[in-house]
Amino acid sequence: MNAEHADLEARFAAPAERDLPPGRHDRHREILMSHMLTRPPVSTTTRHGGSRSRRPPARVLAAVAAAAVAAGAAGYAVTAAKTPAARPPAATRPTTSRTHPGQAAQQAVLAAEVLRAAAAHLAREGVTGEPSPGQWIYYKTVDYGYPGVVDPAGVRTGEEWITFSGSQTAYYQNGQIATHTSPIPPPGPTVKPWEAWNTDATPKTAYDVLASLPTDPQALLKVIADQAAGQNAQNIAAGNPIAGVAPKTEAQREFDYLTLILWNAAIGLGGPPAAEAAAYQAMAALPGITVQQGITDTAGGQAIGVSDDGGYDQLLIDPVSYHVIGIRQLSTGIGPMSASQPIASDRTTPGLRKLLAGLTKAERARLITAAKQQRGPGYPPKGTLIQEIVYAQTVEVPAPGDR
Amino acid sequence: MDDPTSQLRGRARAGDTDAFGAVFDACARSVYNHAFRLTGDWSAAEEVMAMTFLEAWRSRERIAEDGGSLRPWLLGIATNLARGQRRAARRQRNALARLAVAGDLPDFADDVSGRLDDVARIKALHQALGGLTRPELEVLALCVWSGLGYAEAAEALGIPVGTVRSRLSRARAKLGKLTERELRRTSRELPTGPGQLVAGPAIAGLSGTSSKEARR
Repeated sequence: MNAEHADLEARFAAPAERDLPPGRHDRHREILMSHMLTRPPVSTTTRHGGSRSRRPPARVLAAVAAAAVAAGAAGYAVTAAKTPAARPPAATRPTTSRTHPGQAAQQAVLAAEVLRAAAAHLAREGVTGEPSPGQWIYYKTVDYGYPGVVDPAGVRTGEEWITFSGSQTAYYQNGQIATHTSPIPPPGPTVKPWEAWNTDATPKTAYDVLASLPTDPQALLKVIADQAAGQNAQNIAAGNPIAGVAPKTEAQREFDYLTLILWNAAIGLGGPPAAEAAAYQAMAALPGITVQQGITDTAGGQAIGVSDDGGYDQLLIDPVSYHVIGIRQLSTGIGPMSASQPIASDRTTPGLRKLLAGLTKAERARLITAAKQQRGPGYPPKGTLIQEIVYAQTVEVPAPGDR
Repeated sequence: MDDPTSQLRGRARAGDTDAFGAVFDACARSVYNHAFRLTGDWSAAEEVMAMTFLEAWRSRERIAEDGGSLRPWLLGIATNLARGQRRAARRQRNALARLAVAGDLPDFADDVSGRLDDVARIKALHQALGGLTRPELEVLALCVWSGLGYAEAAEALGIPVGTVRSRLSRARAKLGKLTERELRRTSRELPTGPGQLVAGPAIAGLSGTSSKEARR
């Protein structure tokens, strides 16, 4: 230690070190061990900046696409693209897969190709202007809920208006348009995109965050990884340390976080095309992503389902415009949760968390009611559509009531 | 005595959970106290400590194959996490309360008084060191309060050794005229609010035992 160091230590001595309060060391050790056991080591190659597989020859891709479409036509495609050890321990996940050897790899290749095609398409759209904060957007949703599991069951349509800033929403109440103003003030002009997004998820904050992301996939994923890590920390801080160490791979957390941003941006007519393209490119670089093509969504349109958990929770993308149009959840065959589990915690399924985070108050209340119902023994078989929300229409309008 | 974590570096990097458990045993206390010195809040420090090891596990691939103790690396993670801690202070207090209930942990009332004294003292120090930038404070906390060498602090913060030196040097220059008397006066002027202590006798002992001395 030199004199400078010693002088500072003498003048600014900190309090003596203390042990953790009694029992806390063991408690935190236990949490850490549990966390490590549910998220065991994966490949030690660094994904960020790591090498990517070469683009396969076109004829191989055609064969892969045909195989995947066939799998989709048979019902749904569950793959084992992630190692079983990286899955949550039992409870809500199947322990077997209908995937044949080699199919998982094919799915992963197909997912990457579809997402890259989507990215290329969006990148050609060019620059579109960001809507003004006060711009009203009309959106029509079509929901589906499985009878006995989601209440209300069946197909329902809804319509609502929201300003791009998210400050105001409008909806029909007793035949009249009711307007609601958010209690959360919009961020000031000097607030940075991530800070604004972390304060309130709105179409504008989602748009701005997307626009701020790097276009290089690995750099983008690094930013997302940092933000996702922050989310975990917040979960721990919110008083749920077990949920905060939810058994998810790093890739799944990044996919979920990107999905959350894209979903919130979608209600505001999507993010900047180049930014959405970059997000898709980044998703394509993640291990374990699968796609299901040829989906007919609840609104009757065609969709591509992109998933990070083998197809149970899917982000729906329009196969023509490649914009995000919806989300859906398929049955694991076991049941997603029990009534005793906290609805807003990480103990719910990833798909439900995505739903809750991206929904309006009314939509959220509806889903929470459904989710709190105790699941009976007659839970729908694996692969059955449980719930779905599709944006059937989103359009800028002058005022609430216009379509 | 050699730091036991030096021998665990390879196993920790490879994802050996037992090795990580041993690293936790060896370093949790140090990380906890470092986090307290940065946040001035024992509850927040506990959260930072817990998050540090979860983050360390997540980013274990970043452990270099060769090197010494893992403590600098862990203190670096804790430093980063502590930066965002004040914003979430209220949530963390709630978290600790819930954790205590859920874990059915014993009370530590006997320890409370001393911990409150620590809070008052560290707040006085933060007040006195208010002229430092955050990076300067972090270097001071690592080198002076946690006893890291310059190279270790550089490893912790991911900055060149020369930068550690210059930051510490700048810190000392800025604090050059600050005397013990001024420190005492600063501590008396601490604002009081809900849950905050009035600086009292504990603050008078500003020349008390340093963390480094206590470990010896």
